[in-house]
Amino acid sequence: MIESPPETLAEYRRLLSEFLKNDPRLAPYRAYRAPDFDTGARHLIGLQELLFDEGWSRVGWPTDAGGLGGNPRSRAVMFEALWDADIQIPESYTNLEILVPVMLVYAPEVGRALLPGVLRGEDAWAQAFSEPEAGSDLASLRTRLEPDGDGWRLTGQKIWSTYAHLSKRSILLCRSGEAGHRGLTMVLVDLEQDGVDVRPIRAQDGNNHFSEIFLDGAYVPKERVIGELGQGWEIAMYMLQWERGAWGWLQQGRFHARLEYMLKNGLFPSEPGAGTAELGRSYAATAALRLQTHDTVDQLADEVELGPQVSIDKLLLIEAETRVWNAMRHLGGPRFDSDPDLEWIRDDFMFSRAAPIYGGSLEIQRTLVAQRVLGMPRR
Amino acid sequence: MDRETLEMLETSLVHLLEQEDERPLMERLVEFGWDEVVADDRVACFGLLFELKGRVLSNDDVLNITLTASLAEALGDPSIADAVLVLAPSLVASDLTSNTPAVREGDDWRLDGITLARAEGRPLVFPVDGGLAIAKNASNLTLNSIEGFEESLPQQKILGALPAGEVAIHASESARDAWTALVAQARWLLASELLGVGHHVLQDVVQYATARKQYGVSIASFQAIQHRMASAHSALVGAGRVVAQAGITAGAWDTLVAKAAAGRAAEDACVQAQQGYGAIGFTWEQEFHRYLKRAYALDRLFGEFRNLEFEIGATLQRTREVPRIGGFA
Repeated sequence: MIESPPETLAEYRRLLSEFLKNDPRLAPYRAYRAPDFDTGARHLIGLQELLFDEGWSRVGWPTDAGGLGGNPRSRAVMFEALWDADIQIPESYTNLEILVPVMLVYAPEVGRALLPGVLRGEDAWAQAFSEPEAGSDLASLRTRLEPDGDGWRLTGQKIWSTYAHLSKRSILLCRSGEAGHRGLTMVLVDLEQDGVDVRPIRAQDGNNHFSEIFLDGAYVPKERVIGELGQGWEIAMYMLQWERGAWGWLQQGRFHARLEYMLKNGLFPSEPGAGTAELGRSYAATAALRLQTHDTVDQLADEVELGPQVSIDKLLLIEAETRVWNAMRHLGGPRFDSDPDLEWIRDDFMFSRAAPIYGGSLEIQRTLVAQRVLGMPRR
Repeated sequence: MDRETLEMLETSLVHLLEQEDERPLMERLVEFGWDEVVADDRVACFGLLFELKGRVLSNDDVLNITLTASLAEALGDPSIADAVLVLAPSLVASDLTSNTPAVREGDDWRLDGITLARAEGRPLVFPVDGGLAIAKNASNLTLNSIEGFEESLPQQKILGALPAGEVAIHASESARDAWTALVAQARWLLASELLGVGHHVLQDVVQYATARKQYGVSIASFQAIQHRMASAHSALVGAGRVVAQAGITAGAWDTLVAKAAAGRAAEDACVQAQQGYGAIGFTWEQEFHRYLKRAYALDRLFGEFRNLEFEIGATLQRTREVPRIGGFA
């Protein structure tokens, strides 16, 4: 057990890797292949408890929020150590990596109180932005936030909310005022209450990655409004930096690890041939993603405000995710598509098909880069 | 080197590169105080210089000077610093023995390659099976200008036979290591230059498309054009990250990946730009074609990106290891 962050990141990495490799309590998580998303998520709560109780996952979070101090770099190191130990990263970690920093900045009291539970896995959060009529055009969303006594009531419908069916709460973007992005507000809403119905949607890989959330007068206490009324858009933009940087870093770790799995287990031909150049190209794309998101995490750790250039991280993620999995399927041959032992790998492959859509589509990112980074004119 | 110093250096270097001056670039760099700024931060200085060379299409022989200077130091033989490097016209693998420009024929070394600088009367250095060869001078060999896509670089075709007695072979472990380091350095420098070509082309075509009107509006406001440019830009930024990291480590693997990424990103920028310019970009008068041809020429040196991608994949398949480039710890 550690009680303070080790002196250096390298030391933290070394100690953590030793723990992951040697501690017998990790046995159920090493080389664990979840039969499906839900079972995997439930199983990995045990891992979250262990990493929290032993102090490892508290490194990188502020001491007044139940952490041990440090910054996002430590978290990035933890993710890498987990991949290297062939330990699946709980989906919940990826959500909190995106959602908690926002809370700590815009609703610090609530954030500090709730972080330990989220880190430990007792509590899990989802993110609810999209609506059936508001996907890429997020600012047109219609879920209403209306005053009720001391607090607020939410009415409307959310969709594509990752992990919502396994979450207790969700950070949710809603409309409290006028049309357009100025009328938006961010709240943290309890999902386990009357007036909330969470229905998982089965995705093309057969798993329940995301859900619809139906809201019919769901209650939001006044202290669960994040930031100010009308500040929702600004907060969503702040959150996007974490979604691009931290998520991208996590994903490159997955791609490297999966490539390694295929190679080490003799699932690719050992001699070069068709598909070899494709593999090399996908590796180069993954290296670019790794280094780009490394830089983004670095800047976030230094509290640099990142602008529209974070869309480049997403574009590099799309490039890497699409190419790596195409190369894996090509080199993996027919076995890749049908070997019963590779079901978990196929799930990742199927998930990769959504890379140009999830978290802001390829087209939206390109438009943002063109107009806001390259300065090309809007119509 | 901090950002401000780097920006000042950039301004000075652009001025120097664009100056009308017959003297060789390295001579002018030395006069400017290159050795002192390099002593401060070698990687930043060389990365910047080569990127700027790409941006302004410089026709200098600094690549040859830089590489032979490193080789001279590594082998403890100052005479190599004056030599001209000879390469196989196309390098398809990184190891010393593949694609050497010279084969042994009886008592001669038969040379068929390209030089990285004008070679008249100068010593030559080139890789051969098992080591590095150094020849006192290029007399008896035919030197011709390179014809084809790119004719403005100071490279030459070199052809002919050298008596084995006039060629010294360094076959030691350290010579092979020196060659590996040279390839890594060359790839990193060329990758930086390719990024410069790509960034210049992209910047210029965005400017062109913004000014160009059709249907009463700037064509840069069309999503079809915007998406081409955004795609090319993100590829250049991503490649730039790999190149920056490769500059720090100077390792064989990192520089291999860096040149592959930069070569592909530069070509991609050219492909998107060609379309963005429309017909005007296809004219001789518009300077785009010069950048396109430069990108092709730089890509050929020390490994084309398609070959390098193959080499990366083949290495992964053979070693069954997946190196992580860079990282926090």
